[in-house]
Amino acid sequence: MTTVAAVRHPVASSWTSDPGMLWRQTRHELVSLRRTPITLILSIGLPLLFFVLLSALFGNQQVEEGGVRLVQFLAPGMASFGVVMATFSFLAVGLAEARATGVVKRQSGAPVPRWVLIAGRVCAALVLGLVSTALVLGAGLAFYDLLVPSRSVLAIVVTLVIASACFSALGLALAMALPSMQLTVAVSNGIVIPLAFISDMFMMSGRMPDWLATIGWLFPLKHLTAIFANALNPHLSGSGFELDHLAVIALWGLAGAAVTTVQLSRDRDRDSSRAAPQRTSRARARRRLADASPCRTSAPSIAALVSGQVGHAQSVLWRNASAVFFAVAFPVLLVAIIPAVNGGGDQLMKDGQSLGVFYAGTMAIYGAAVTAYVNMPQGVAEARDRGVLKRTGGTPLPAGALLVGRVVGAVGVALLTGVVIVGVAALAFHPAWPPGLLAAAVVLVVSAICFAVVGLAVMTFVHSAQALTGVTLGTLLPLAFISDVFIVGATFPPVLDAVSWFFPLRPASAAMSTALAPQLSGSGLALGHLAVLLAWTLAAGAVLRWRFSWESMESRSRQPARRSA
Amino acid sequence: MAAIEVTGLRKVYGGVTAVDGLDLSVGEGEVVALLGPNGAGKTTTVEILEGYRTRDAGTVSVLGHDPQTGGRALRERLGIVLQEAGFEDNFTPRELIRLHAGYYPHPKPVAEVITLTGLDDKADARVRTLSGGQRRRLDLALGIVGDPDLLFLDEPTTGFDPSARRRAWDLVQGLRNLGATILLTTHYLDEAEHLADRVVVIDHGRVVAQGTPEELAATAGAATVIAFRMPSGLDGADLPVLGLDRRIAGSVVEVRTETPTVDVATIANWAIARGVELDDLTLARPRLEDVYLDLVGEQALGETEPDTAAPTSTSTRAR
Repeated sequence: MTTVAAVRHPVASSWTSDPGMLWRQTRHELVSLRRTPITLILSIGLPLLFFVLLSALFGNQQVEEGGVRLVQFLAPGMASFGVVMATFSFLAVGLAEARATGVVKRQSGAPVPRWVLIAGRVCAALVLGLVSTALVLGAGLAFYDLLVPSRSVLAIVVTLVIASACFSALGLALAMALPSMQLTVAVSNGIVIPLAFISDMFMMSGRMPDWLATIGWLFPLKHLTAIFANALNPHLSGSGFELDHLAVIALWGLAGAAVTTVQLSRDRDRDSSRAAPQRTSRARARRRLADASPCRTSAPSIAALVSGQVGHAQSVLWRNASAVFFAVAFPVLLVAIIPAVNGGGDQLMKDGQSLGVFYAGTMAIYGAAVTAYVNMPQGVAEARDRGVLKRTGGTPLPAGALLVGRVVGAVGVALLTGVVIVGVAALAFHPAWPPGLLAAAVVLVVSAICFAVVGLAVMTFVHSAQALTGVTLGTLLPLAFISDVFIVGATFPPVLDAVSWFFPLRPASAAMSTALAPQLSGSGLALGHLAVLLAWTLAAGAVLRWRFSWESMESRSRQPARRSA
Repeated sequence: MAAIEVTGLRKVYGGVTAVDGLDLSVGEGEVVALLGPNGAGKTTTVEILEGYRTRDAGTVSVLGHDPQTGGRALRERLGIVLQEAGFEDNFTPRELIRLHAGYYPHPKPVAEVITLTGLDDKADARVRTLSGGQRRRLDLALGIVGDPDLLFLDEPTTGFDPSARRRAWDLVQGLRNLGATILLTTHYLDEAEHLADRVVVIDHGRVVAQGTPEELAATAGAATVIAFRMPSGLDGADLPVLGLDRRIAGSVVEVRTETPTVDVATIANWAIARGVELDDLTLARPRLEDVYLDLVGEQALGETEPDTAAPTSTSTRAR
């Protein structure tokens, strides 16, 4: 024993010294990052993808004499977007998840100092931010003739490090302040995405109302974009260090650090075992009374089973704060913001359509796609991961009733989102009432069914809910950019154009635009586009019938093993 | 008619034979416990009976149906409590029990199920706020809400506190009194002894013994056990020749014997002659645990014991 102790001590001390622990913790966070495709897609993939897509679409336009291209003004926004996604969002969601899964609790019982755990996460975020920015600038240099003036390279790197630290502090503060992971995901995205729009990330400042621009300057993101923009501006000289902008960023960072420190020192018992408040509305009391006797005395009809599943699917979707944000609040927000920053929703487009009505239509389609293609299959996949589906498979509920219930539930959420969008657009832009509103509702329903069935079919090929989000979001967002959803009137290379018409999103948004056109032609139903949606629905339905199972393929072909032996 | 009839069941996972020619019959209204070490094939067998897995060979009949093709008609009469399955934890137990009640033709009243499983206090709290034992009770609640004719319980009381366990036992006995057939797997031998009419011991995918606990004791040839604490200063070499064999664990001596009267007299005389007192002297009928360990061998127990090679692992880590 003595030899063991003698060997162990010196070795152990070099491993458990603070810098050693920090290094290992950082490495651990980076490994965990590499194994979480959804985080990589959101923090690195998305900014790069937006940059490449937007540059491919518009980047070669020469905006002024001397050959300076639009990409020069696109890169700063996307670089800032990368930084904020890699630090603020990544840390907020990561910490909230670690807390929700009990990782933080276990770590706090270990003899590692708390600051090492926090700093490990921050260092990983810093690496992620540097990689993300380097990829955006590198892609610009390699493919789009982006000019990075040598005068400002140092300023870019220093700004990047300071900004990363500050956004990290803010992300941690947010995660510490909010009670649950779902809420943290919803709030962090709810902050970043609207801010991105008013912080010159998508180059819209020229047409933005003054008050919106002023709000943008209150937050650190716009200052970061400004520093990068000036650093990359070929007409300016100087080192690129902008102390006034940096000071605003640093102030926000200090505030975030202060909040984090206070929250940490309060060391509240964050166990989520707080009981839900008992609501005692009359309807509840009535239903509880009904619980006293059997709810039926004969076999339930298929219709009863399906309608029960529809209600359940609705509850699943509405109780997920993050899902509600992405699928409902986000499109509604964009309907208000995009036309506003583009000169107003009452502006008329070439075909006489008003900008507000156009975006109301495409955002309803986008909301339907997020609900039906991303969130609903995500919920089913989570149920599959947890064994909920396996248990359901042991009940008399037919698989068809469950799936139809989920699809119809998603369609219901998509329709409600559509109604809210119409309400917001009507209030904000007072457009003429489009004659084809009924046709638009039909298009929305057909599209939502199509997205839902395709999403479920995709789910059967993906082994976990986490990986599924990566796949669905990773396909939906790029498609949204080439499907006249966010950007309209762009001309694409023929291949990209063909791709966009092949997948169901562009036919859906095109059918919606047809239905909402100011001069309605016929019923307003673009039958060609609807046929594409129907074909996808049938094909995906066949795949679903062939491949759906209550358990993932992995666990079906494996001997049952006790996870906690 | 038997509720469950299995002959020659085989299941192979990529070259590993999990179930190897298993025969099993469970009569209507009978409560049968499957025992066996980890990896013996219990869960695979039960999941084949539940219809979750396909078999490679053999015949299986569950309530007169083949579970692979039985479909909804069979499922309406089954209750299944899986060994490990999660919940949609944004919902409350009441909501989930209600949801499941809606699947069956003759469900029990939701309120009754909540009370039976002791979930009254937590019925309207989100599932994510439930403790491990409370979740397991919800598992049980979802298994019985359809008022099943045949109930599968895969390790139903793992993680329960002692009083919850008693209540679960009472619940299972209540179901049995109403005529339900129950097939349970368990690691707790007292649970099997307490609940089951019949115990089936499985090892390496085969039935190695079955019968009532008393019959098992007889067939396995286990004898009465004399146990006592070794007086200090003495060791095994000092003891007289006793019984069939003896085990010494720490200071506790256990002697199996078929002639308890003679052997008790021998050891008592030995102790009196030396002027020592035998602490904790007991004479006991063999427990199911002894029978079980005889049948499956003690290596099964050794696997689950805490790592006894701690010094070795410490030095490995230090390197």
